[in-house]
Amino acid sequence: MNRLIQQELEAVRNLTGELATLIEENLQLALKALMNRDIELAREVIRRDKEEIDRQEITLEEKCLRTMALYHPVAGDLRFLVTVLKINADLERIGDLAAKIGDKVIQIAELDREVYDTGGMKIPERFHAMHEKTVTMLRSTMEAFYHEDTDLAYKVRLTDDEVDEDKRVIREELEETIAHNPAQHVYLAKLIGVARSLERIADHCTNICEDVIYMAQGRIVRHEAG
Amino acid sequence: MAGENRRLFWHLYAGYLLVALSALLVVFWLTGVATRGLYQQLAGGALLMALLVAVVAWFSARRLSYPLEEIRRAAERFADGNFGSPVRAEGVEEVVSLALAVNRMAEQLGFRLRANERQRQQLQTVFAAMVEGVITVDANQRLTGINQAAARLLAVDPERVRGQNIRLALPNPGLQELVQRTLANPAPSEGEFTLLDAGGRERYCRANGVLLSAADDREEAGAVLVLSDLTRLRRLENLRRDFVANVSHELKTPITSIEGFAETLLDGALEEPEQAHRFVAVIQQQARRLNAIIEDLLTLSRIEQEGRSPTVQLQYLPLQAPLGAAVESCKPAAAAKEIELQVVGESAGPAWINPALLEQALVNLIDNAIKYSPAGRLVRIEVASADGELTVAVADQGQGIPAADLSRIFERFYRADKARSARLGGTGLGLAIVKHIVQVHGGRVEVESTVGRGSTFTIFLSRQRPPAGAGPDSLLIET
Repeated sequence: MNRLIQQELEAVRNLTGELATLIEENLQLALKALMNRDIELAREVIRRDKEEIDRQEITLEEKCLRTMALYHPVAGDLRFLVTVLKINADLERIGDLAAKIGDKVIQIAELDREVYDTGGMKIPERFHAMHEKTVTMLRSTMEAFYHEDTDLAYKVRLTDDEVDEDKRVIREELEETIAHNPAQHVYLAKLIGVARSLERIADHCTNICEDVIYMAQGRIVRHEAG
Repeated sequence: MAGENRRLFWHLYAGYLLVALSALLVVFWLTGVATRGLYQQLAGGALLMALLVAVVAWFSARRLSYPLEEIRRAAERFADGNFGSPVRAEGVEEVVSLALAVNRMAEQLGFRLRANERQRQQLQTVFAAMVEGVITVDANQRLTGINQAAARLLAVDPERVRGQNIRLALPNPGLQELVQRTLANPAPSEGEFTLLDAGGRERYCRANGVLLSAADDREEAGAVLVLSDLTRLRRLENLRRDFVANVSHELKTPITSIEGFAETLLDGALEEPEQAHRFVAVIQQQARRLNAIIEDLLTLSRIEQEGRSPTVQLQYLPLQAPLGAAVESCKPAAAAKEIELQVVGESAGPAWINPALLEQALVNLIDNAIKYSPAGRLVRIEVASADGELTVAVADQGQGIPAADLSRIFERFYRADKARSARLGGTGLGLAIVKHIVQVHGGRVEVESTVGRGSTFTIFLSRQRPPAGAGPDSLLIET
C-alpha cells in the first residue's frame, strides 16, 4: 500500500514537472513572438495553451483526485497532493497569461500594422530585465517545489517586489511616451498589458512558493508580510 | 550475531560430552559389575572424570568452531570492502585451507575492485573533461549521471538533479522527448532542440542517444545521450549565407544597371548623341562602382591572408607618415566640400604598425567622415596615448548613426542608410576593412555616435608587439 502510493505521488510530481516545463516554454515563445514581431508564433502560443497545456492541467488534476480517492493519503502525502492541486491552478493561470501575451502581440500587429512593420515599436530596456526576472522566478519556484526547498521558496517570494517595481517603471515610462506621442498609444497600451501579465505571473509564482512552504512545513504563510 | 556459530559450538560440545559421558558410564558400569559394591569410591572418581571430560570437550569444540567464527568475521569485513586484514590461518588442517582460500579470494576481489575503481575514475575524468555534455538515464527515466558540460549547457545544478526524473531534471520538452525516444528505440537516435535561458536567448543543441545494454537480466537498461552546442556553428553558417547573398546582391545591382543602359543604347539611343552620352556616363559610373566593390573584396581577403600568415609585417614606427599620407589623399574630397581636416597630437609616440595597411584604414575612416558631414564642417583627427595604447580618433560633425545600427556597422555590406550610402558611392565594405586592418594590428576599433551631433571612430593600437597570428576571423565567417 505504502509503496503503491509512493509510485502514484512520483507520477504526480513528474506530471507537474512536465506541465511546468511546457508552460515555461510557452511563456518564452510568447515573449519571443513579442520581440520578433512574429504573429505566427503568437498564434502557435495560443494554440498550445488551449490544446496541450489545458489538457495536461486536467490530466494532472484527475490524477491527484484519483490518488486521493484510492489511497486515502494522510499527513505529508495529503499535503503534497493538496499543494499540487493548488499549484496546478496557478500554473494554468500562468499558461493563460502567456497566451494573453501572445494575444497582445496579435492585437498590436492588427491594430497598428504601420508602426509594427516599420520596426517603430520600441520596447523599453527594462522589459528585458523584467522578462529575465520573471522566467528565473518561475524556474526557481519549480525548483523549490521539486526539492521541497523552503529557503529557495522564501527567497523567490522576495523577488516578487522587484518585478512589481519593474512593472511600475515600465508603465510610467510608457505612459510618458504616450503623453508625448499619442499616435502610438494603441500599441504602447498593449505593451503595458504585457508588463501587467508578467507581473501577474510573478504573483502566481509567489502563490506557488507559499504552497511549497505549506507543503514542507505544514505552515500557512499566506497573508503574512513577506 | 554469533548465533549460527555458537550453535555449532554447542552442538560440537554437546556431542563430545554425550559421547565421552556415555563411554564413562559404560566403563563405570562394567567396573561396577566387576568389582561389586565399590560404588562409593567410584562415584567420586566418576565426578572427577566427568569434569575432566567436560573441560576437554569444551576446548576441543572451541578449537573447531572459533576459526570458523574468525573466517566469518573476515568475510564480513571483505563484504564491507575492507580487504586490509586477512584471516589468521590456524586450527585444524581443513579450516586452515579454508582460511587460505578465503584470503586468496579477498585478494582477488580487492584487486578487481581497485581496477574497477581506477577505470571508473578514468571514465569520470573523461566525462568531466568532455566539451560535449553527457547525460545518462536509467530505464525509469531517472537521470543517473550528468557531466559538467551538460550541467552548464542545461543550466542545472548537477548535485540537485541527479536521481530525479527527467521531467523535473531536464527542463526542456525537446530534450525530454529525445530521452524517451532513445529509451524506446534500440537503434541510436538523434535530434535537435532549442534551449532558452531566462532572458530568452536561444542555444541550438544536438543530442545523440544510444540505449545501454543491461549488464544482466536483473538490471534494466538505461541510455546515454551526448549533447553538443551548435549555436556558434549555426551563427557562422547564417553569416556565411548572408555574406554570399550580400555579395551577389551588391554585384548584381550595378550589372543590372549596366545591362539596362546598354540595352537601351542598342535599341536606338545610340542615334541620339546627347542621350547616348548620358547613358554611357552612367555605365561608366556603375562599372567603377563594380570595380570598387571587387577592389574592396580583394583588399579584405588580402588583409586576411596577411593577418593569418605569421610573417605579418609590423614595425615599431611613429604614426606620422601613414597619417600624413592618409590626410593628404583625402584632401581633394575635403576641399570639394569645404571641410577642414584638423590633425591633433600626431607626434604621439610609436606603435606596432603596418604603415600601408594603417594608411588604408585611416583613409577609409576620414573618407567616411567627409562623406557623411555637411559642407563646411570640421573633421578632427586626434592621436593620443594612454595605458600602453595609442589611439587614433576620427571625429566628424555629421548626422550621426542611430544607436540600433552601431553594433552592426562593421559588418560587411551593412549600411545604416542604404539609399544614401549607395548615392555617396560606398561599397558597404569600408568599415569592415578598417576592422580587419585593426585586427591584424592586434588592436580594436570602437565607435561613439549621437544622432545629429556626429560620430567618433577610435582605433586602439597596442604599444606591445601583438602575438603572432593575432589575425582577424575568416573572411566568410567573420562575426
